Amino acid sequence: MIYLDNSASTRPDPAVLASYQAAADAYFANPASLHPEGTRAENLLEKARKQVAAQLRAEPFEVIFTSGATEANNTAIQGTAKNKTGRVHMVVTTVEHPSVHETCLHLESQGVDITWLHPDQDGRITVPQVESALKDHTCLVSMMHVNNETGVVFPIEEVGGMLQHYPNVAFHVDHVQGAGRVPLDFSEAGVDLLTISGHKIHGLKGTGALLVRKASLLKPLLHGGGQEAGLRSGTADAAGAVSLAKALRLTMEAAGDKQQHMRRLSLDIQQFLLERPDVFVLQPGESAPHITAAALTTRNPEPFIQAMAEQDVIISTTSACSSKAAGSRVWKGMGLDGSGAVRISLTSSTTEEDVEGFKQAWLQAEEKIIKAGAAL
Amino acid sequence: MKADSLLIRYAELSVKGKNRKKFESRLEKNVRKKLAVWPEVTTSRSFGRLYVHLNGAPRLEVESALQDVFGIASFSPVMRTELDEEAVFSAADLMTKEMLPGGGTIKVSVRRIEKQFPVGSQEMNQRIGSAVLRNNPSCTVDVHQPDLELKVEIRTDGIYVSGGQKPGLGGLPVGTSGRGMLLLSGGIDSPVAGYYAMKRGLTLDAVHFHSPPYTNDRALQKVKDLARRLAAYGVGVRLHIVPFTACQLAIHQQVPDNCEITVMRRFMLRMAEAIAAQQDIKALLTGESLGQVASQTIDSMYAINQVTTMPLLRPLITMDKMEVIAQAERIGTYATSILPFEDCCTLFLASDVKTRPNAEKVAYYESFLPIQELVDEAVENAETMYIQAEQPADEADDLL
Repeated sequence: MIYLDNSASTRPDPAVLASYQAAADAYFANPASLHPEGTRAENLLEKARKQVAAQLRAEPFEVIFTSGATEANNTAIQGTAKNKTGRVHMVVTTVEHPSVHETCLHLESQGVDITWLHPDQDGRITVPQVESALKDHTCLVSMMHVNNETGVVFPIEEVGGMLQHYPNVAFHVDHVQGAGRVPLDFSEAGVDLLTISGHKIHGLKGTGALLVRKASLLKPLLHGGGQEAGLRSGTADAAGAVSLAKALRLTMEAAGDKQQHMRRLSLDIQQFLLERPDVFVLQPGESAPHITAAALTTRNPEPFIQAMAEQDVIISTTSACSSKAAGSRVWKGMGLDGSGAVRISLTSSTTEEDVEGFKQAWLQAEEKIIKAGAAL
Repeated sequence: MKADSLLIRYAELSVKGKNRKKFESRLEKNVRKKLAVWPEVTTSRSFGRLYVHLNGAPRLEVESALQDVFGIASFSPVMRTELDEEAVFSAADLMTKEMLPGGGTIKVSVRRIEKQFPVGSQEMNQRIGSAVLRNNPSCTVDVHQPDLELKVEIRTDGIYVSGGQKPGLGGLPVGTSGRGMLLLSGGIDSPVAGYYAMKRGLTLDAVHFHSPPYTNDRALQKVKDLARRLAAYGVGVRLHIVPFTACQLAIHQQVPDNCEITVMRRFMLRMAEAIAAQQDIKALLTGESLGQVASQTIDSMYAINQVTTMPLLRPLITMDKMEVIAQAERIGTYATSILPFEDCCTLFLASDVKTRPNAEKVAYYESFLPIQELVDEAVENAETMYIQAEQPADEADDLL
């Protein structure tokens, strides 16, 4: 199988799985228990926290483990809203992941004032655009680092720098697609809240974290035993935390060498697609090295990706989390017709042979679907 | 070419006369230890200066590590060039670009120590300044409050261009003032007291009184973590864990409740002094602050202090609690200190502790206890460990 849907989920690294299994077996006690077994589990949990912090250049106490990015994004956004009394205003882009987009829509329906920032046709959002959206009672700007459908990179450091002049505005960044692919330094970038996910970096589903500059920025969504600095109650999962820390370390260590590699393969894919008939290739200025977004201009993409899957090459239509919706909101947000959008997303272990296999499968799918007269 | 070295200026060392060599070599040793995580980093000394050579190590991270080392007044990135005007221009230009990527105001200060160099320092000021401005249109000159002061020293062995000075911690290099024994409880104050003692050049031993099963492993872990944090400012902390349960129970049975804490503190001092004497240490340290709690009034200190003739240093004696907390936050011990585990001082704590204990009465009450026996037994069974700044590897690390 040639798996090119790494932005939807990645295959867990065998070393991560082994660590998870060993930790789940040997450190099963509740880390909050006072007996020695609890202390051992807590020690492991805290080591995992320290490692996650070190990889993202944060402090250990800033790391809040969550069940994944959806929970982290919800905690960041709803937690900020719950922390405020009186008028609440937030600034968010129209091309965020559903776990941000839907959360903001929900808050809007509850009376929160939301300013939606529209990117231009290249998917860009500018610093002045963000700054001019700020109001006196703005409490949060939420902006993803790398777009999951298009690979566009938003200028996080620049926005973070600008927001230093607005100390009452917290800055949340969904770093799920950026982690290990496009560097971001939590301590330098002016970010207050940062979301990461385990299963996008060869870790496990059900693991993730929210980095929180100051616990006082948020109110928790889950109440209970007061774990994770009171921001995320629920028995701490030391083994899950270990798997996240290990996946993050392995990804970050490989990142330096592999970025150029992924970039080269992506450019190769884009070059190939540009030469195909009836294919529009998105080529934003600032983009992540691992995502290629394109659209079939005359066809429904779904039979096409099925035809590719029959040849054991896995690509997807836009984002898996949005696959139930008609057309792509992100593409629409950029003023483009995304009804035929497909996404090819690589990972560090993708090879040149994989890309060759992809090209062959694409050509055959093209032929097969045209022959079958299935061009819709 | 980049700023490949850091120039370290000594704090206070210039006044130390004959001891200066000792101080300098100690500081160099401490700096090397702190930077040991980057094996490529080397150090050298010349003309009363200490240089750190990065050899590719990340400058900002090395700088941040140096800001944990006592005995440094300040440090600056520095480049060395040949005794040649063009080379200085290019070094000054590169230094400006590295330190002020977005432009800003500069000032050039030249010192010509090597008088054989043909151009005078005033003239060099102007020539370097105009060369930098020519290549950096977004820079202007401000001789009063520049964003970047380029210091240029023309010496026999080359020309040194430095800029981007950052402050160090000051104080004396740890290890130049001998050793002290800190009574480390796990609270907020004692780690801060240890920090200030290290600031004046003391190497720390620490003693902690552990009362299992009343105090648990986590309380002990907390103390180790605090010692580890302190070790980051020095060269490791030797930690002595003294089993205190037997002594504490004996006191609880024998002594009236409201004097218990006073007697307990007297036993702690006796034990700390005994271990200090074994280790050839000549001072005890506590985190006491005048009037903060019942055992820290003048009367209490008087009654407690009777049992030792060793100097008992109290670095925090005049500090307010808020000042201590602020410092604990700065040095990174606060978050650990406030973890809620019982320590031996809060066990069996009476509700009406005397703030003015009578020293004679206290001595009378405790005279019914086998004092020497209790002290000897505890000291004999003390467990000693050496705590380094880096957490030792354990089985859990293999999983990560």
